[in-house]
Amino acid sequence: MSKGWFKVRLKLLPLILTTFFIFSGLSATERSITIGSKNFGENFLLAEILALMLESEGLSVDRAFGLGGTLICYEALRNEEIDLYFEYTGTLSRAVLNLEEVVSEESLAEQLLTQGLFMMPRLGFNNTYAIAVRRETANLLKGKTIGALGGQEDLKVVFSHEFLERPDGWNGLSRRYGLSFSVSGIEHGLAYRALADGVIDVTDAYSTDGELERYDLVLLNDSLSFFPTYFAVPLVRASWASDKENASILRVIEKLSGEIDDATMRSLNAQVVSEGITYQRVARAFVLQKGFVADGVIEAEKESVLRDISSDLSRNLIRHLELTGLALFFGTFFGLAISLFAYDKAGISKIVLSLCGLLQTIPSLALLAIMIPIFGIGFLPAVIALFLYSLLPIVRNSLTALTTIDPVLISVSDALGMTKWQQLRLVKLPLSAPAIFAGIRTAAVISIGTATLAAFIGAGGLGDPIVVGLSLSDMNLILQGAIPAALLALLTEYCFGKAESAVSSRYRKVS
Amino acid sequence: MVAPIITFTNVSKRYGDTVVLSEIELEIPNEQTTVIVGQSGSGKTTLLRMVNGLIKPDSGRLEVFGDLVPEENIENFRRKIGYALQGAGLFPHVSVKENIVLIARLVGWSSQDLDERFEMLMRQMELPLDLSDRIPNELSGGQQQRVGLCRALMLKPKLLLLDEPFSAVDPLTRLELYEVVEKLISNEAVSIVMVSHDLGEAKRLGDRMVVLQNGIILQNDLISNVIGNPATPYVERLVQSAT
Repeated sequence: MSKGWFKVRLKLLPLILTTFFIFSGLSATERSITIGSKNFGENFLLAEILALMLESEGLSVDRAFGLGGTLICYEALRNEEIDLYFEYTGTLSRAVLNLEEVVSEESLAEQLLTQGLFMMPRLGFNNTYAIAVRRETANLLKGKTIGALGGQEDLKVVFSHEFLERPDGWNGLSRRYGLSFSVSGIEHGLAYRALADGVIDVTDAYSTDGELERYDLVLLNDSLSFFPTYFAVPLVRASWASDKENASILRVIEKLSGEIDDATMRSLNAQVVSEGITYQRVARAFVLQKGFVADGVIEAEKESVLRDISSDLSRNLIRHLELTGLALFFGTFFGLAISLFAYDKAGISKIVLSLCGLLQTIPSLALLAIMIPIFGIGFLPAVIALFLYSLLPIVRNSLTALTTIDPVLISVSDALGMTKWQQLRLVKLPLSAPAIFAGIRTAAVISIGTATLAAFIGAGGLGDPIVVGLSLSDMNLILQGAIPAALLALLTEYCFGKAESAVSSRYRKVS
Repeated sequence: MVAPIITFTNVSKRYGDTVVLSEIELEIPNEQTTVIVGQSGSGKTTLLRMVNGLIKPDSGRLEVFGDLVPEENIENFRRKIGYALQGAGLFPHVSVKENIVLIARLVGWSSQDLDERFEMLMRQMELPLDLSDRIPNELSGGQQQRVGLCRALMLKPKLLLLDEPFSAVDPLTRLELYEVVEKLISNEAVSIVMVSHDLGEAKRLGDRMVVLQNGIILQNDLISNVIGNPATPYVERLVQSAT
């Protein structure tokens, strides 16, 4: 039995190695620039605009779009996983550098330099945070100010998760205006629709968001000037900027300086969200109209790679299976190895279980963010994060099963003269098999769900259309990821269920 | 007296503050059936489990087959001793036959030897061969107990330890089991040490009896002598309670 098991492992080994080589090979391209973007529409647009401009100059561009939030983009930039992304000055001073006071752009740029980052000249527009309400709600509020929310306790106040966490978000705002609502969190991409549908009454908005026009929403006056300005700036590493080979790239980026004002940005955003034009087309029309790119340089068919990926179900599905399959394989292997090592040592068992439990309590996005400095972005850190999550159910079930075997059976196998290894192989493992299997099943289903978040660090999979769809308020796109992911989880549950009953039926019938 | 197969010399065992066995001096003779009798908590099961090394004495010497119970390679030592216990303790995930022949296969018996011995034991225990492929849960309590005895006897041990093997079955089944054990005693040259709290059982199956109370041996003699001449008032009460 043990020999057969070993053979199976040997057969799998080349497969795993090949998989790793393929993925490590993907990132080893020639001189190129990797542009990242946050996971909302405007940032996609800006990134795509720059990508088209650089490509028209003959550069090859890797698009790492839709990375989850400020922290992940910032860490990815610092760790050379991406070379550039568009950040906002207010975010840099408040959320990244944690500065208390509003500082000038010069001072901000200086402080960023000490972090090894180079802030390029702003594009023009100010996409500040704002508080949005429906028009009829605004009419109830005196002076349409944020402060007037104070008397309206029955309003349902829901903010994006990032806004709830940031010092320049709800914490500071509520203190400044003396507001006390019980607030809850929502994914930013869903907030506008929820607001328009009357499910919620107040949410945070970006002042250039296209949805504001689409849903006829009103921004409340920030009469106490709480929100700092959020000028969009290209952010790169200082070392990258001072590399002579990148001088021509910098000149292309600088062409954008001061070219996009508030109205332009809002209108570009609105084309994506209201008129349903893909952000790639909007970006192309913009660079052509501005004359950044000569007509004919961009072929009409050459849509961004990302959109192709998003709509390519089978490719996403395969990537999703690779992510979860590898994570589960290593989770099972190491989970079992750890359990077998620890089960007869009570102290170590306890420590192992607490450690695995601790891992499970780290929020998925945070765990993914922690991975970036160590493993970068993309496939590998996602597999490692999923692997860490799969450990707890496998280790918990295995340890529990191995430590709760009927002590009589242990005495009997001792008394019969079995060695420790024979006892493990012939008694303990077979008796624990159903529970161990149930643990692997739980881990598989959890992995399939959590793997959708891997798209936030550019790992692809079925999360890709979900992330892009959320950013662009595109329900179709969201469902293209969500439905297959749900079906995959159900199918996995079903298959494991079948396999599990086959395993435990050995208890009823043995030849 | 025949040469002893087991010798306890000044053996003691305690769990925490509780003394389970106190300075035990005991010789168990070869090819006889010795029944250790006592109430629960008397230390009788501990005494039995020391013989195959499941429990280690805190102090004293314990010799089995003329040698000390080994520290290393205890598996080889244990394979010379059969062990059956209350409730049989069969492995629930393998067949009746697997339960019985497993250990013989592990020590490298040929499949022919294995099958011969298996079938012989099944016949001797009056178990139909068509039970071979069943799993333990499909068997009655009495059948399970017989399978447990077959398993204990598979490697033809010279010494058989029985830990109250008949106490979890109904009275009629118990009588049937007594018959097969009696047959066993006459067919196989085996020394038996049996733990029991039932004096009737001891009288029926045993040659000698050891009466234990609170970790101390009160009497160790031929059964007829124990009954005819109880050493202490406690033994006397025990004898009277069984008649």
